[in-house]
Amino acid sequence: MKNKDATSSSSPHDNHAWVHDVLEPDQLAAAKPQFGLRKLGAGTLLLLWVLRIYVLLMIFLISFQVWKAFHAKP
Amino acid sequence: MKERHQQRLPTPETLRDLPISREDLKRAEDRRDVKRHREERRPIKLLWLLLGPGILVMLGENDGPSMISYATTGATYGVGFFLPFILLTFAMAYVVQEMTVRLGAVTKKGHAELINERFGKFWGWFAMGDLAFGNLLTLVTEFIAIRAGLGFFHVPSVLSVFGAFLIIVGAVATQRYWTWERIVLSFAIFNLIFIPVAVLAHPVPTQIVKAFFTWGPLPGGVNASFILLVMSNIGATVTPWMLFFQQSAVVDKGLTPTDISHGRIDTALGALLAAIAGIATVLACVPLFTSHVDASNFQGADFAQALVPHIGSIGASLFALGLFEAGIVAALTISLSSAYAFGEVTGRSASINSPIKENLPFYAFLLAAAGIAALLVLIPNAPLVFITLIVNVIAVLAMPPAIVFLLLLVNDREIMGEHANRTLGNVFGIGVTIFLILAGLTYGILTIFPHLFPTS
Repeated sequence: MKNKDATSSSSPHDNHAWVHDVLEPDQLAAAKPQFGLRKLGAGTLLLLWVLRIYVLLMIFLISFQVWKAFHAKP
Repeated sequence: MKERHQQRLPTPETLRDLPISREDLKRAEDRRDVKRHREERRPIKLLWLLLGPGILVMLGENDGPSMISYATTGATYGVGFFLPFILLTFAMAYVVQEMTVRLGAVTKKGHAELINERFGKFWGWFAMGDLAFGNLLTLVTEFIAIRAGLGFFHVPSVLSVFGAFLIIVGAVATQRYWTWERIVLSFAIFNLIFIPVAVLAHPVPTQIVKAFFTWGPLPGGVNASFILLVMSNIGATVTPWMLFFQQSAVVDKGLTPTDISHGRIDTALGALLAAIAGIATVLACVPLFTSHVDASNFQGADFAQALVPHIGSIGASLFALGLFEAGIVAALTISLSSAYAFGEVTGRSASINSPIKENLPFYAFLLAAAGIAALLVLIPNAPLVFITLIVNVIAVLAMPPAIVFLLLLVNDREIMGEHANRTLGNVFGIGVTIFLILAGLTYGILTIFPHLFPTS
């Protein structure tokens, strides 16, 4: 159950048939399906880790470089 | 494959027993209108109802730093290479964003939520962390743009920043996606204010046509400044928050697979309008190029001031208003994208159709993101120039992992069924991904080793 809006929910006995007419079943907050974990291959995991390390390393290096340049100005 | 997805859905009997939340009711009201106009075969009205996320994401990305980047481009290179290049970057943005439309419409889940579910909480929180951090810095630059735009009209900083924050509060206080979307759209359309500014700069039509056919001229050739401006223009067009925002907005709006074609029109129209506004900003600043004004260190309203002798005070005022518009639309959309990701990763309702009193953390996160950014801008001696310099770099660098997750998800037939990427979609998608990774790497390498290329 995704939605924590329990108190704002209407009783199923209210006249909300029209809601079911216009919304697809998985659009209801209380009825969203859980897709479950996907098994990641070794190649995909490696790619994700390489990109993660790349982002962290580059952000650190560039932040330091820009900070240095910024503070070098009189 | 499609059947596997449908097996997880509740049966009609169990559906009738489920409670209907306010979020469901509000979304159902919107969908009732869509259903009626589709049945009555009223295509224009239907398009009007389904437009929104695509236009907002594209015009939202024409934010404060982006407009400054386009203005710097016009003042540095004049009419030439960058006109078709801006069009190309928005074509790439379309390729990427179209995938988020399909993902949202088919799975009914936001981007962060899908990463969380399919790849696990570790990657979900990492993705949300990247987004929240990048968004906070970007929001600071949006408030800088708002302050700079209104500062041209001598509006005090506190007033402009506080006023912009109140607009954000007012828009989400509606607790209704449809109303929020129309409020932001009504601001976003003023991104086209840069068109009359460009007209006042009297561009030469034949030069513009020639630039599109020849991808030139390129004064000074390829050097470090050119490459940095190329990267800056890419960073001004394709960024991670756009993926998270559009997919979640598609879900919040209630789009379904039947609406994917309208979602594509919405995204294409947004890309076209944003490209036109970006190109108009370049053209508006061409007089600075022809007058040899050094705009390399211009910030915020400096461009509007410098343009007064060339396009008059009305043109300069429109430019400053455009800066304000760029900042406020981006602040509205980016703060919501942070809240969407927060709601999705923490398992809360990620919808502005949900009531504030019952979904307080979602709204609190949204307003905290905007509020902290607003306060940072007002702190004396805060490192705003540093933040402005770093924000585009972070956006370009954070894009490759985000787009790889996007490609993995959109190729996941277990959740996408028949709407998964086909060969041509993957050719374009992987092509754009490789281009962005190379761009990010070049940007990074050039920032660390600035003397690899000639400087002028």
